[in-house]
Amino acid sequence: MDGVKNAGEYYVPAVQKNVLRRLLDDKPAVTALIITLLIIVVAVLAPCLAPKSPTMMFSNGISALGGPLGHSADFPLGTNQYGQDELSRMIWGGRTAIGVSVLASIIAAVLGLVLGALGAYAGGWVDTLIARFTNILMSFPLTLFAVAMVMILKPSVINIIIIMSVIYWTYTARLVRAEVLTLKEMEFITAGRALGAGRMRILITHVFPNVMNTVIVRFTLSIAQMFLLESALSYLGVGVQPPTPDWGLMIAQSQGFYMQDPMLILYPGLAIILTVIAFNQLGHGIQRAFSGR
Amino acid sequence: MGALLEVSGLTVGFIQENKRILSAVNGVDFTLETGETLGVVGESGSGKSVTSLAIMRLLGDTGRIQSGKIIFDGLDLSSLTTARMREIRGKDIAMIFQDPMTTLNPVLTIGQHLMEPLRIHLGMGKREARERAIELLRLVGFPRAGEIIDEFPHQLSGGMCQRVMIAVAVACNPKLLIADEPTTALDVTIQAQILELMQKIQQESNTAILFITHDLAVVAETCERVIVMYAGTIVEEAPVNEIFDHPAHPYTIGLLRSLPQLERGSRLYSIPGMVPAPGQVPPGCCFSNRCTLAIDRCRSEKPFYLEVGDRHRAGCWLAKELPKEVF
Amino acid sequence: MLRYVVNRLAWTIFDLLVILTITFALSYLLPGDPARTIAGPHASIQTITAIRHQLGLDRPLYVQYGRYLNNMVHLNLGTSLQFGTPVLQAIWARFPATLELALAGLIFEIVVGIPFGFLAALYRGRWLDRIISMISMVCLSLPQFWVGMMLLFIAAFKWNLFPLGGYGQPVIWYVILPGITLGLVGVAYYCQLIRARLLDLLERPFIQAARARGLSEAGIMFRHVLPNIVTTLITQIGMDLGYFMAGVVVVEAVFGWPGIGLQAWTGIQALDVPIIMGTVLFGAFWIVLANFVMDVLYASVDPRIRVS
Repeated sequence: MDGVKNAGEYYVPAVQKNVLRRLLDDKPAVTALIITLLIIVVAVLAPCLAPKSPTMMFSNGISALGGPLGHSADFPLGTNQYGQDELSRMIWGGRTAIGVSVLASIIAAVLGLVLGALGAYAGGWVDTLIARFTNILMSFPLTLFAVAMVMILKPSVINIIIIMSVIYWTYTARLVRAEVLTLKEMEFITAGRALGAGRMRILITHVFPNVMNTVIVRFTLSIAQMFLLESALSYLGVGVQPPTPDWGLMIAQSQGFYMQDPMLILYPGLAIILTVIAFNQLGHGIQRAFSGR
Repeated sequence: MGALLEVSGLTVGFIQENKRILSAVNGVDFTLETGETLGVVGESGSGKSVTSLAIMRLLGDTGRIQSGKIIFDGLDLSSLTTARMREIRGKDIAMIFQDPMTTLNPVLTIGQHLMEPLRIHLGMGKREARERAIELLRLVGFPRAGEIIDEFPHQLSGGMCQRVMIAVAVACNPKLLIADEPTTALDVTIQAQILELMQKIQQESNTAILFITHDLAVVAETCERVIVMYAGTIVEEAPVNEIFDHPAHPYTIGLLRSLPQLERGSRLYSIPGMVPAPGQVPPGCCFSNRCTLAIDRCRSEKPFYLEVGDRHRAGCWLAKELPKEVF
Repeated sequence: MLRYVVNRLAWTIFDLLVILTITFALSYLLPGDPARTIAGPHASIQTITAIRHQLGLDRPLYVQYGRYLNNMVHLNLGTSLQFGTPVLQAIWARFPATLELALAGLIFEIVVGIPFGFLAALYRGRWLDRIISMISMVCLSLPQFWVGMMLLFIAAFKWNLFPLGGYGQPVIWYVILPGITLGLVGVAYYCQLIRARLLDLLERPFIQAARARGLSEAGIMFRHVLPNIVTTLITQIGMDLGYFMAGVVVVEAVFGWPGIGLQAWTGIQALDVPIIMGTVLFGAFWIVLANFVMDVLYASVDPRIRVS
């Protein structure tokens, strides 16, 4: 038993222990981490931070012609055509989107990990089946498919999460499968088996820790991708439904007015971009930390 | 008659991220005569590969020849323009590398590899180059030369690839062939074939060979003279028999003692300590921190070369007093 | 090589079959009754039942599946619930517009992305590389619909250089903004891909060996580096084309581009399941076909596969 434990520890700890320190030494990664945390905190604390209710339509927020107003003391970022306070909507706007993206990413990561590792480790027809299925799913025009599915199943937060995870697990699965296949051939696995360790134990003690690196990186990056997809869904009207504030939705609702007042789409757009960049950079930073540069 | 290659005072360094230069080769001098085989022996980090890259001026963006001269056939290579150097590479000086499988371009045929130097340096036409390529393949021992010429590297074994590399290297009849660990990546039996091939080529075209290796056994078989490098410096230089029979530097002695002995019960000897990284070479003699015979003078004064025999010099204060038989 | 092609072809057909089955399963399981949609909100039960019978929706599952497959083989993707016209016909009519957009996007990606990738690799570590890397990082994070709207605002509305969306003649003028929107993410992707691939290749021993043979840097680039990159490029371009041809809903929606994506989008809003599924199938077909063609092309160019 000791032998197997040693075989597992020999590969993993020297790398994992320093990861956090390396991450914190990496300036761009730390910046990304701080921004990410800030965005999450703002989203979570939105009810406390927003000066007004994001859904309330203020009669003094609409111009005489029925359009949005520019910034003023009462509405620091202006209003939209419904008289809603842009600032409050901006603060609230990331909430659902981030929640959805993170949850969908978690499900996709778990699905991808399980299916990818299972297939690769089991080999044979199981692997062929799963790999084939993954490829086929990736042959669907994904955005179209997502939009279609959500619309048909009625847009709701749960449905969106489910659909997005069903679409995205394939990317993680592919990476995990490739990783496990490589690991399978490595000597320390053979060494473990030579010591009498069973397949399950090998899977848990040796394979999973090494694969987790890939999964964690992919998880962070997929949050960014899901976020983009979610905002696209919202833009097309199949995402978060009004009156819930959402940056993508805000952009969609400003279709008629943004030519006169580009701020209506500039703020939410930049918010989306910033969030995506932050998560992407964080993911790359984690990747660099894992691989020891 | 002037030597084919004269290296004097060569110091090569690499620019680090903090903009400072770290020297990997420090004041190296040696000569090579036409048709001679000179072995360069040392462990990784000794500077032997860097020396050969410096001769070829292939040091990359960060490498610099800090000082010294490299006179090849009357020309000072260190001061040539890149364009002129390119004319020499592959034509007058050729180089073969360690791993033949990775030094061949996977998407080009063997023929394409061979014809490249022929067409670039000798200006041959396609048909002429192809015929010469087949000749070369036969020369290095491919009876099926006409078929091999159209195959791809992945279809050949390691030994066959190395023979192709040798063929490419000698295609333009170079005066000097630099072989950087040509047999390290190969099995022992294939190794013997390659060494035989190199000797045959040398005899037929009187090519000088600079044979870089860490394997003393290979040196014993192929080289006429040997220089031993450690931490960027030459510590000993001698004809090959002298080196084995009367080594005059503690490092050389250490290397020889590390060769596995055939007697039962003999323990494997290893030199205590590690090769210093560039920039961490001890003051005085570069080997002083690992040498069992070191005296105070070794640690403070860098030794100059003492003549201990016919064309045999060693960079050690104790070279003349070392016990003759150390085994 | 022939064996490889046949093997890939067989698998491609298998994939298509599975895709068909999945789409069938989805259209069968999804909520929404096509008969009711066709009949309209005020129709009587008899009308609805009659329509259901007409559509064959009251037959057992395996019969429906069989008819479905049979229809597919005869290229019958069903009839649109909105227009009453055959789906394939409706899609095919709008396909050229999508194709034009796809080509525009692809050309933009290649023409801008690849050279920048080269520059970034050749000047690795220096400021040009850093700037290019930063810009591509940002580009990968841009929401397409936002880019489209911003482009419309700046280039069309403010500067009046381009039409405000839509489709007309000369097509070039209309396709530029949507093409840029579509290809922007791809530019960044190609740039990074080429840069990474180039850097990897330039480290390889055979490049150093080529230098040792006296080849010039340009010679090395053309004879040794490029042939190794071609394979990567072919695969990527092929896949992109496949994905683009599947219809890009977002870009077509922003610009009002009359392609299959926009048509599917209106179909989605009207819950016109045949159009939706038909477009999805159409798109999947192109993607699968593109994969197959790219695999074969790759195999034919990479001697390691071709000759074994």
